[in-house]
Amino acid sequence: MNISYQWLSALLGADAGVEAVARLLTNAGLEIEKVREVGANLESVLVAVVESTRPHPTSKNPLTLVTVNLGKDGSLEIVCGAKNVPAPGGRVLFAPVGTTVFTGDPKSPSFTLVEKPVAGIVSKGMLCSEIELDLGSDDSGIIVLDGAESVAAGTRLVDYLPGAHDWILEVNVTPNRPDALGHLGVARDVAALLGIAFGGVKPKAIAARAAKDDERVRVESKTDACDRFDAAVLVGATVRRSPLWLRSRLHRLGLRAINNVVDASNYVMLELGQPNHTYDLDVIAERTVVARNAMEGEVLQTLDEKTRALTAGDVVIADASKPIGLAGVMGGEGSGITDKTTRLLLEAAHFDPSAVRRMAKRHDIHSDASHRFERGVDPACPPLAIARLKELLVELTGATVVDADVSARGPKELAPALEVSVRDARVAAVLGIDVPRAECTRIVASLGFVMGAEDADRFVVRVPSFRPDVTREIDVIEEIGRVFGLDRVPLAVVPSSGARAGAVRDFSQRRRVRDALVALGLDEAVNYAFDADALFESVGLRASARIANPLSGDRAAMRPTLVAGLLKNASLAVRHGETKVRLFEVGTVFAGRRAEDLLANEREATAANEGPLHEETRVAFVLVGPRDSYLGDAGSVDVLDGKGVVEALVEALTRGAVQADRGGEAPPWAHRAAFARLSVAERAIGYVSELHPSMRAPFRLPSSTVVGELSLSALLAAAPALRAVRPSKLPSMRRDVALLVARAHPVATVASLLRQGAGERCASVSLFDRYVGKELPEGTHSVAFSMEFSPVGDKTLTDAEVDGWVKSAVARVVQDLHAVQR
Amino acid sequence: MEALDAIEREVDGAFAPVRDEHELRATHARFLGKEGSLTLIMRRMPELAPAEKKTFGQAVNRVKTAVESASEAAEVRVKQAALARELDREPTDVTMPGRRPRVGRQHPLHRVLYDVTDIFVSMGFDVAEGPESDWETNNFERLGFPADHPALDMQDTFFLHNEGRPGPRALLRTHTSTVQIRELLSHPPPVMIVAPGTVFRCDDDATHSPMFAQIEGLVVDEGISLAHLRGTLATFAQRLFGKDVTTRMRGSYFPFTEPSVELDASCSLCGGRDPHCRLCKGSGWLEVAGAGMVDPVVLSNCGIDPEKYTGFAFGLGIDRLAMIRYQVPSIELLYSNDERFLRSL
Repeated sequence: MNISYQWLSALLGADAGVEAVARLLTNAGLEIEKVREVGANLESVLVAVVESTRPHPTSKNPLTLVTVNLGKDGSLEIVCGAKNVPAPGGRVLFAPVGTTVFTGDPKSPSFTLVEKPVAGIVSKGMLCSEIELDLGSDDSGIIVLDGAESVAAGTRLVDYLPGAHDWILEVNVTPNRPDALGHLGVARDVAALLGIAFGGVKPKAIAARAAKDDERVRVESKTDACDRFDAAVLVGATVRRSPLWLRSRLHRLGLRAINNVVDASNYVMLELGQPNHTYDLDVIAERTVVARNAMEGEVLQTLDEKTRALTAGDVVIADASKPIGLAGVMGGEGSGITDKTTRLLLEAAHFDPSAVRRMAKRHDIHSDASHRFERGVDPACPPLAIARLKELLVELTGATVVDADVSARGPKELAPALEVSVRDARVAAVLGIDVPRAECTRIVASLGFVMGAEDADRFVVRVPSFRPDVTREIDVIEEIGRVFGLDRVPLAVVPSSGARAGAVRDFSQRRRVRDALVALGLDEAVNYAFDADALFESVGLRASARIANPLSGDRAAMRPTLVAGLLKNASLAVRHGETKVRLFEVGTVFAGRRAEDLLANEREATAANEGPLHEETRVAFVLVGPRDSYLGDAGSVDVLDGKGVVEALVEALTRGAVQADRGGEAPPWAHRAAFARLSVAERAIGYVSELHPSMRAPFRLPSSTVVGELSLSALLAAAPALRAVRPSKLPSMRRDVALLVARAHPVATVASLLRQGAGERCASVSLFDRYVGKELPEGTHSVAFSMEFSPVGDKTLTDAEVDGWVKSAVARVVQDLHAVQR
Repeated sequence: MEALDAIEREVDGAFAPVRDEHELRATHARFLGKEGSLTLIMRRMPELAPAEKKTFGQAVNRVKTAVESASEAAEVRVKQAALARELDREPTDVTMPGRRPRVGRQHPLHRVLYDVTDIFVSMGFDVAEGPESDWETNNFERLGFPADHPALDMQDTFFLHNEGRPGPRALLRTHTSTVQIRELLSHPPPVMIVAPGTVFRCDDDATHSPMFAQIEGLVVDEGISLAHLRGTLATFAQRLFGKDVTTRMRGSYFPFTEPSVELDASCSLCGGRDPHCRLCKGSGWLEVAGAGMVDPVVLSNCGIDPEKYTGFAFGLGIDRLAMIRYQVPSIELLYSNDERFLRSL
């Protein structure tokens, strides 16, 4: 909502300063997002009287040389390109050299006038159009002041047009404050904040002449959606351009000036916040206006030149034969004001917020009227709006008011004014500060609340009709707080209750895993939880949960995996020339629940702290390109690098041992020759694999792409209780063993047999070398293990006994796997 | 005796050219090894007459001492030479890159999220969480959003396909305030939680991301007032932005708090002194949190007596804090997952 500071000050009869007013309003909940100074350039502009004109002697363009009288500054001859230069005696606006003038072109919006020759003749200024002075949007010619015959030549524009130098306050009006969608409501807040009296808007009473029969109208509301419908009739109006003050005011507040009748209607809306409408009485069938529910199949062409098919849920304003407006949303074509209109029907009505909101949504119209009605316009305002409209229209159009006012009520009773009881103790308990009773009542009274009964510990107020947001004690307390000054609330420390959270999930687990993976040298990605189906299909997966109203049609799938997003990220990095990628993500994946899932029930699921979708936290990573190395080439990553990440992660988090096998149902992105199902303590935690070769191309990723995806809960479930080891004071002993063995036997099997064969003193068997070469028998490899033996108690190990254990270990492998010791 | 004298004359010359441990041991052995010249002479002692033995013995000891001291001197020299050789080797070019393990980068959103959470945890809050998908009941109704009201437009909602199921509509939560409901339903007051999490709005432009991170705070107990809210957020702002930061509280509107406030912190960059400050845009203030006293209807909806208990709630946008801290020029970068961005922080 744009608020004119000059208009506000005029309503208040006080000028407290733009900055002070902006600060007060912001603190009280009407946030001023921006203050725009307008018309500072008008200080030097003068009203000039045309003395004579002559055509430009040489120019081929239709230029006129205009001699104007500037009062005490004498006369000047000005070059003017406009075609509407008035006859001598006409009043125009003169901007002298040095004035900032506007172009209407956003690329170079303004410039400063300098003295330079136009077609060979030097002007000391220019005669200006609305656009050039930023007073309107008309660029068809220069401004010619109407009815300004008595204005002296040389009068400053800012004296002729009070408020020409103004400040526009851009107010962020929250949905609970419909009263602030007009200058009146904002002025009321400012008055309360400044502690000054405010009388509101009081239109002059206009004498009406008796109405003739054909000047009477019939008005009726047949729908609950219209509480009241007030109408009035004016005759003898002349429709024409509005005076400069009105055109410029609307322009600055963001509305386009149309003609004096429409402009007056908009002006009243901006002033009172009451949308209203003017009709050409002569096109209203049977001079009958009804608010009613639309009938299925009716159509209406609205003012935006669109044809609307109406349904039973719509509420229309109709004459005796057809709809002429969508109630509270937009008027219809055909009944509006034209140049020929002389008899006016004024409408100010109140419509139900929900009904207007539904219509505006259904027809996708967001108008100034619907914006206000759906937030709640003061149901008591229509008579005031009609009175104000009459006052303005009589002045602007020369019309006469006839005695034909009608005020219809809807079938539904108007809700009575609410009375709210406010306890002093509650005010203090909520605000954390004692606000004296007298201060409380002063504040609510200044906001338009009517004081009711008071007793020792409470007072009663009647809520004004323009504050639909206030219905309860707590709402009144908010009013007291925001006007008293929220910034006066002191700072207090919450006495810690030591309460534990009840709704818990896996916050600290996610955090531990993130920390561990960062420590392992991976960078963290955060991808959207939804993306295109095509992305997930590119890793062979389909989403089972979908967004009904996605931002764009192709981003409707809730992710069933983190892998796809990470591959997209890796792809981006590779495209940027990065050869090495190390990325991980810890996040939620989603699946639809089956109907028989008990947690598909909202209450059950809420109680279990679950949602409508099955959500699972996953840990995923992608590795691409060369291994970490120093200057040399350490080869490219493969599935064992991925396994290593998981082993290190598990070691960091739970100290569990990771087992790998090729069991279970491998994910579609797994490479059948290079994947592993990983388990800790016999429980599968996820898969790691080189990326399936057919999935590399869509992401333009190299063969050295390794991905892994784990379940966070499975990963952390296998955490054994840790017990400290008492280190032996005696040395342990180490033996290396090299074996030639068929590659068909997994290394883990060889190691396990060695350990079994070596007996209980063998603390560990670890592979430290592996060799594959042509000189070895077909299908074999040479594997070398380091075996560690630990003493027990205070008995030192001897070479002989260790050699014996190693010998029996080797014998076991030789026997079981036909291995050969090397 | 002549032989002894000859050996004695040899000693200094023998040790003088010794250059390393090996030569040192060999030279020492030449005199005192199994077949050393002095050893051989000493072996002949028993053959001497008792009268000669004493003189001879003294002479042998003298020569032996000479050998040992020459050997020790040579050893010192050899060790010093070895040390000097090691230290004087060709210096390593330390401008070569260090051999280092790769360091990973945590996403800036999570760094800020955890910092913010830690501050509140240190003030006595526990961490609560709820699901990212939820129902309109928890996202709107129980929070007191009026049906069919423009307040709903404040949060453009992603709805989920309901698969034709009856009941409330499923959606992606538009705020972490859903956790207020879930926490309040989980146990009676006192309640003192922060709820960090991911939220979604149907909004995608230069300043909005359809997914972003928030942290919610909720305290419900007897005797909680707006002063507690202010004290809590002021302490938070000082911990996050610095101890010189001041706060202001101003009116606002959220359907689930009453009164509703915005809490602003004085600009941590310019302190309100720079009219062209890139951070506060000259206003002197940074919006920290939307907040307020928990609306009584929220408490009632969760079966809590609003006459007995009061509470406050607040919500902070993590993305904006991350953008401030790391000078991120546009919000889309936070979700770009461009390695060049991630590794720059």
